[in-house]
Amino acid sequence: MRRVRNKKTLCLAAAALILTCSAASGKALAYFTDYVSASGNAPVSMGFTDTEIEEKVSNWTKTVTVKNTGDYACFVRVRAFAQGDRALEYTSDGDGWMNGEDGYYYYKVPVAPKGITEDPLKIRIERPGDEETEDIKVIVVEEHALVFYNEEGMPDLSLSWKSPSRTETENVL
Amino acid sequence: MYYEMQVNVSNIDVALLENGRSVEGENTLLADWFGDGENQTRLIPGEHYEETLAVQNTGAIDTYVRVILYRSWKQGGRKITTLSPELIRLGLGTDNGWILDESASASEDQYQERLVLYYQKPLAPGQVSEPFCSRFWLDSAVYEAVETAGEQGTYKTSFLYGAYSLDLDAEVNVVQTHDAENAIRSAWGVDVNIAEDGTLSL
Repeated sequence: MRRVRNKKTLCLAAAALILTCSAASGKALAYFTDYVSASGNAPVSMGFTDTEIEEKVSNWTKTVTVKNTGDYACFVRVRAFAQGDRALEYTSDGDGWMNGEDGYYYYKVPVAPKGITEDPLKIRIERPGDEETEDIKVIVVEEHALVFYNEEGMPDLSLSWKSPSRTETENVL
Repeated sequence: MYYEMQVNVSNIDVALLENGRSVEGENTLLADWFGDGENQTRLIPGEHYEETLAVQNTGAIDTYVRVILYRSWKQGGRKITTLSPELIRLGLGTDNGWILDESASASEDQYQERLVLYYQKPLAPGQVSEPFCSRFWLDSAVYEAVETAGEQGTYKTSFLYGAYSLDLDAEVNVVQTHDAENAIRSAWGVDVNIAEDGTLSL
């Protein structure tokens, strides 16, 4: 009986030794792996927007505000043409506009959907002499372009105006 | 008399973290920004969206990590193969411990629908990796893809990409660090080099 018990213990010890050796060996027949996955989507919002010009005329000065009536943010720019090539002077109370040196004045920040140019642009017309009594026609032209973003994700005025997305609005008063 | 032997099997497990939260399964990515189902909000081309994606070792042994990202355009759940996935831009973490496997992407003539990244250091149990993605956005060049249709002086211009959804899939694979080169070759089919300090390189 004692001999049988010793033989059984010897076999179990040998099995444990084999298991230990195989665990320490360099080669494996299979490897521990695991994985996890996830997915998602985002619908894209793209479209054109619309703008309107609002003007108030007082003392030979047009005060121009542009309103974004559409659903997408845009940059805007404005210029005016006066009958008889009369001189025009562009000013604003704030610093929202910049002279593009191409005849246009550019609003520096995007106009949000349903928003307006918070800093109105004032266009002063050269007054006629005392002997002139006819009405003077002044055409205000406004264009807008969808907002393009640079690599840092910031709205980029020059990139936006290079895009093919700009459209023009014209007011004649 | 009885003999008792206890065998411990090492546990290997991994979690994908989006903005610090574990995600898994369909329609779970990007849900923080755009939701899911019928009332999703929409992505504006050009705007950058913060999207921090990282990996956490939730197992009991050190592991090496591989991430595979798939980006595509879909409409109604169907992949659109005529639109470029490269306009779906990702801010990858290739300067903070991740390396991009250029050879695993499509050929030079094809668009990179699949991006494969490897974390260069082993990940210890409980450890969270550096982010492999920090933001994503849609290149503004999508605005240049337009089609115009009409006749007799009336034309309508529409954006080609406006009818589709951006789709992003992320798959994370982990493998044991013991005998790592053979383990990675066997499990992932890739030959890598493991330096003495454990740094993985392609």
